[in-house]
Amino acid sequence: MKFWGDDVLKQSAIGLGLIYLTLGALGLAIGLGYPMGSVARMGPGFLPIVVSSLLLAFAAISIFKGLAAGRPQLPSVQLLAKGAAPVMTVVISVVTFAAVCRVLGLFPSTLLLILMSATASPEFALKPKPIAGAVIVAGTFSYIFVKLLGLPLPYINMPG
Amino acid sequence: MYYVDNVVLGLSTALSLGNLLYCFLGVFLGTAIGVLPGLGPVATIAMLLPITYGLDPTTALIMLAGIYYGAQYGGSTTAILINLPGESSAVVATLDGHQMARNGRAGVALATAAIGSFVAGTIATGVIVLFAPILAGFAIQFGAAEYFALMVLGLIASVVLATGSLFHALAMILIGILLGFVGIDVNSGLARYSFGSMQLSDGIDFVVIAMGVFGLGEIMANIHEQSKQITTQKVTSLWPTREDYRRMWKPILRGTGIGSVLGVLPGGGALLSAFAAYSIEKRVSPNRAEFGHGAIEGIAAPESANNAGAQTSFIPMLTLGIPSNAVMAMMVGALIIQGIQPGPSVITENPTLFWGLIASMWIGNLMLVVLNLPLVGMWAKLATIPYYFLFPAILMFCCVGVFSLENNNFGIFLMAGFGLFGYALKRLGAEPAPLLLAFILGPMLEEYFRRALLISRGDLSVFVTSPISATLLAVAAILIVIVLLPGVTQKREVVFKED
Amino acid sequence: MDVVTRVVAERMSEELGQPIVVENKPGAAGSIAAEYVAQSEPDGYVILMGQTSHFAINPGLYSTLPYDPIESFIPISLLADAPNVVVVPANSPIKNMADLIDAARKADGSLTLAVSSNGTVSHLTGELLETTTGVTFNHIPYKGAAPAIVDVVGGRIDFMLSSIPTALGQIRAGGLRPIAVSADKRSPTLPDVPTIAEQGYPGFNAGTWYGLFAPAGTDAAIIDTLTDAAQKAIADPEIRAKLQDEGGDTLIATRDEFRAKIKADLEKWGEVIRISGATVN
Repeated sequence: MKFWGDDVLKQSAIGLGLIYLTLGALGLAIGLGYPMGSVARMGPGFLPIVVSSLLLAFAAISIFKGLAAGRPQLPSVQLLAKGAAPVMTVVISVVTFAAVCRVLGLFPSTLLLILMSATASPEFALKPKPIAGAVIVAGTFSYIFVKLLGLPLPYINMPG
Repeated sequence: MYYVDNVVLGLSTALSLGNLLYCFLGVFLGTAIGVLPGLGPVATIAMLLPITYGLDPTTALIMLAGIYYGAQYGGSTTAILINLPGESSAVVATLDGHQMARNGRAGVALATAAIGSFVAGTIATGVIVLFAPILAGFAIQFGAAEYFALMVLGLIASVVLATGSLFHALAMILIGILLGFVGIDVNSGLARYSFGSMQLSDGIDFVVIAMGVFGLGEIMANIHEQSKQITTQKVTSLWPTREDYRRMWKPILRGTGIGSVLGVLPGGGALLSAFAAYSIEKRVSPNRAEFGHGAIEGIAAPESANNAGAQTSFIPMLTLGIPSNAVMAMMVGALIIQGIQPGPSVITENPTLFWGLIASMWIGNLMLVVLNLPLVGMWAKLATIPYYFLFPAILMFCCVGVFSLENNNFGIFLMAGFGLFGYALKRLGAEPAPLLLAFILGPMLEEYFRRALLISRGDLSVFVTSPISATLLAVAAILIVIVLLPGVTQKREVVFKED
Repeated sequence: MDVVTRVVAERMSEELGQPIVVENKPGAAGSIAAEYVAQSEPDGYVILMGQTSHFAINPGLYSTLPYDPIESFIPISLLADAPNVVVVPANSPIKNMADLIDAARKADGSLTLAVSSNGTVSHLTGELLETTTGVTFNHIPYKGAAPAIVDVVGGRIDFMLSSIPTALGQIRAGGLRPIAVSADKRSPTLPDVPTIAEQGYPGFNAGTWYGLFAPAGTDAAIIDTLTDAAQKAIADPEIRAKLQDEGGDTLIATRDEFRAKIKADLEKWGEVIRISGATVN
């Protein structure tokens, strides 16, 4: 195992460093609000502050190393957008599921989840066969969980 | 004579038709739950508890136990196939197990896991029969200082899990510990990092992070790479080759030993055993360069440790009445409802219960291997299903699984956030495994450290005056040196090369 | 508490002729479950199994609660209580309360008391004990009762206030010695153990009670049906025996007595919390 990692990691040092920076800063800012105490009588803030500070140190080192390695080639905005779309589709479908699962019931929500997330893949097309498959999968799955396992969600919520 | 009599008693109890049936039901359900991401043994046992009221206590316990160690078996299946650990102890299985799947060796990985688990289960059952009282006495010796030292050792061992960069693995550990702080602080009662949310003040559930970082993150990364299937290699033979067998038997034995001992310790023992076994194997194995890329030892050792730990974690519950984890606590509840008080008197007052359960654990392991080995072929085929079929289904399981944790959707939102985070990490090349383990160990480390000092009234020497604690800390110190050494020599090599 | 709920629910559903489903809604010391019921339709189909901590303790600990302990609910029936037992390691020199207070005085605040979670009745009973006896203990918090019991049995902690079922196994096996119970009368499961009140602190009474609640606004007739079923359930000697196995006993009380008890406990524990200075947020 190497200490700094291979070339991929060397290139992404700035990106990772920024993540460490955000988390460390957040952790420290909030952690400072908790009582610290001493090593022998630690308060709830002691370790959060120590760990956040360490993380910030790692952030600094990582960003520094990344900058020292030379200009990173940032992908063009178009490329980023193209890559981001399928990823965000997955996120949005999960969030949608969470939002509607009680309102619509498990069956419609899982159906929605399956169909929405599947569009993230370029191989998927909203044709009758895949849709039918999705309905069957969602229907059986929801049935098992609601009726047989007693998950506290309505199977389907009919309006009215 | 004592042992023979009791083993006979146990076997005759366990081999009754009713108990066999319920044992099979338990391990079958357990495997199914272990395979399904998000649904865990705790939730299932809670749902099935009312059924057990009408059963004989021995039968009830046999079924519930079957669910528990069956889930350990199944949990590694998704870890291997789709890089999604069903349970905390399955995280280790993702390291080499999933790599083997990507290399077209999913069948071999699954078969190794099954074989290793069976051998470990058999040996562990023997360990329980012979050493239960001794091991129980050992568990009682562990107080806050000793647990702290153990956790330190564990955390350092988890560094070894990383294959890429030591630097970024350490950063992942720090992030994991920080995430672990979210929730109510045991010692002060203060809600940390809760942002005013009542849900967050309970802390983040391990399953939420695992599903998010491993599940969603993996899916998003795969979509990005436009993977057609999980494995791009042609699926080779399903069964381990002669060479594989030769390589796996020692890790299996080592893993079993580690799991049997660590599993007895209440609270984290079973989890530690899996990756302690992995770390040790990585250090000891002649094939250590392969670790992280599909080394068979990397799945044999932790799976054996896992199952051995699952068996021995019954010891504190049966002999002391002290549950090692949430699942055991539910079994204690089930026993109390039946009118049995788990504790030291169980062995003498309810010998059929004790020995019957132990005998049925061995039978259950046998059933599991018989059940799972033929299924290996089916699972391996799963890895070749077009991805666009597979991933929506995985998403479905993750969402419902997370929902079922607390019967509300807050966790699902959190999981989505962790999914983005996991995706970012994957794209940037960092490894999430150390993060997950640090997430569990970090808060425990803090809890034990502060408690040890509270009891000793601020006296730091308590960590070295206890023999167990001092030994563990010494081993940890040695480990740090060993871990750093290759890193240092590697750096030196690079420097020389650049010259 | 889970056991109490399931056992009573089963019996009540026999009475009502309708299945009762026990739904676990863990989190935030029960506030999540309480909030869920408080905001449910007041049609008698969603009720809460509540205990002392929801109604008498949480209000004092949390600065904002998503429900009001008095206004959000209508009490249906008290069911059972669960006192705490004071246990010491088997080889401890402490044999009764007098020994305990003596040792605490000599130790000058360093006698260790294991507390299974902050903000529970167990924790606050410890605080109440301090104010009543005038000594201080070194409170050591744990996540749950099991690890605490291990440390007491191992002799690393001096004593603990445990719920009876948790400690019963070790008490019967000889790993723990019970020296007192915290309620105002002896527990049927440990009839030889005197109460704290009997050992020199008359009026000392601390324990957890369990009761059923419906959301405010539920029709009086529905409440009456539920109360009836609940009272019949706990009057059943089989149910009583099961509850006694838990270390507690059934509590027969009218709804008004129940309401008065909640108010009294709210004040009592509120006072203890105030004196101890404990808060969560």
